[in-house]
Amino acid sequence: MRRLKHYIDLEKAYLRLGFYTFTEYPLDSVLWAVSMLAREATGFIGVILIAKTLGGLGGWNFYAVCILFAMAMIPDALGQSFMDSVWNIGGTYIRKGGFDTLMVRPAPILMQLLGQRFNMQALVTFTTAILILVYGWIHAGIALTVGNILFVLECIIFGTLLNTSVYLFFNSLNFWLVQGSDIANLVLTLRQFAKYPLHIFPQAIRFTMTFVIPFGFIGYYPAAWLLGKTDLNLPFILPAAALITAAAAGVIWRFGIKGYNSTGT
Amino acid sequence: MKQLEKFFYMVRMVFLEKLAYTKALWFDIMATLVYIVIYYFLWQIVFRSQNQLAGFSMMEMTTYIILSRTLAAQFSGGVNRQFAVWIYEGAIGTELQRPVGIFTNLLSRRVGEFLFYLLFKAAPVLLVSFLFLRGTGPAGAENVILFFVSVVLSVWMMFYIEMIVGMGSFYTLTHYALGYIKTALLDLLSGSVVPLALFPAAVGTVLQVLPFAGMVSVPINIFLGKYSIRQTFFYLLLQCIWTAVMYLLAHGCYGKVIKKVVVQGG
Repeated sequence: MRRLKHYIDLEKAYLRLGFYTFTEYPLDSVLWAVSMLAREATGFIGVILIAKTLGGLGGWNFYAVCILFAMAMIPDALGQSFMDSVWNIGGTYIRKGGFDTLMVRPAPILMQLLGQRFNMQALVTFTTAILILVYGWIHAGIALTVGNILFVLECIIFGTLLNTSVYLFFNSLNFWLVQGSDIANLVLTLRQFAKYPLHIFPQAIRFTMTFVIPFGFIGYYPAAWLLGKTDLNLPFILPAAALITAAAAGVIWRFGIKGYNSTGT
Repeated sequence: MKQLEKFFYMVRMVFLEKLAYTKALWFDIMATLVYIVIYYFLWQIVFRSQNQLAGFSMMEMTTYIILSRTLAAQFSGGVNRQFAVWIYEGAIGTELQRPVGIFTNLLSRRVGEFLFYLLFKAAPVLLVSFLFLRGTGPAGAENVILFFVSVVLSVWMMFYIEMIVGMGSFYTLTHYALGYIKTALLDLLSGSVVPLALFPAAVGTVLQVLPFAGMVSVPINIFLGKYSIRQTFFYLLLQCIWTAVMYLLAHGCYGKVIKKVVVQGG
């Protein structure tokens, strides 16, 4: 119990530090927020324009596309806010030996790693995504039931877990491969598929996005469930997919940390 | 003549430097291909129900997608990062003392980067995409030449935009945010995500005459023969004018910003 309390205090301290960084350099924080919004906006405006011209996209109407895009945006925004450090594994922690510092401290390494850097600016993206979701929700006429709201909360929690687990998995490849970060970045590009109705892509891509790199579960499948476009039992499948991904990431991370032997400097 | 010789020597140096790091290149090429695949299938649905969209046939749209994503692959690079790194690491002091000005110095880097991009990024991406996805070829030989003229002009102008973005690093802690904003804006405003014809009419018309159209929309429309001779020369002239404007803007900003460096260094 005392240990748990200690960890909670530690996490609080990390968050406080993160918040100070956020407020210390206002210009930088604003620019970050704008850059994140701008990046999301390019993809969004593109798909919106196509959906508007055609009145839909692969059987999904304009509002359905809004919901899909918002659902895909939410886990990434939360990940960027609180778990963006996984992207530093290769550079700062492995090649520059940053793990040496974390390893001698009395707290789980992963927890420390995640506490090192926050991008709270991404909460602006998160809020925007929620607004888009609400907009699409109202116009698509989805019922405001307890079940649906619980499902969205589930998507936020397990979607973020799944998303960050994938990033952790591929960034952990840096323990063995020089090209680890490049592979992780390519996976990040592949994530773009999650923002469009998956069924418009060929079988091979659908399969990859469902079973290999399960990004389909952060945008497409949940949105399809909310819109009543799928028979899959998503409230059960989503947590299962997230936990399996997290387990895989956890295993590879543990192996990596075990085999890590500093940079020698 | 001596100046030009020096310049090309620097271009060659940058090119060779880039050549030393070709491993990450595969991933760059793959990323560009991923975007091409996404947009290809997005537009496929469109043409399942109609033969024409905003004057484009499916084949023409395929060419548009391939070329636009290939050209847009340059947006995330550029000299703004190099410039920013110099500023943060203090190397800017050394660079300013060199016998060539900072603009010439970085322009040589940009040219080297562009040549490298043409040979090792654009060429393989275009080869693979056109092989698998087809798409129409150029409307004529002169279209290809004018396409290249337009692309070269746009890279020249992009260089000045990158310089202005890079100078922003004097005022910020990291260069990433500014770089991302640049990439996103160029992506959107150049017509690389969606052809400008699909924007709401008023917005599309404005974007058409803004400098960004010259980076993607104008060269591809020339390539596909969508412009009359008159229009072609109008847009090329417009590109020249914008390049001149950006040149003046970048040098103007530089004159202001550089005083700050002198003050700090003194």
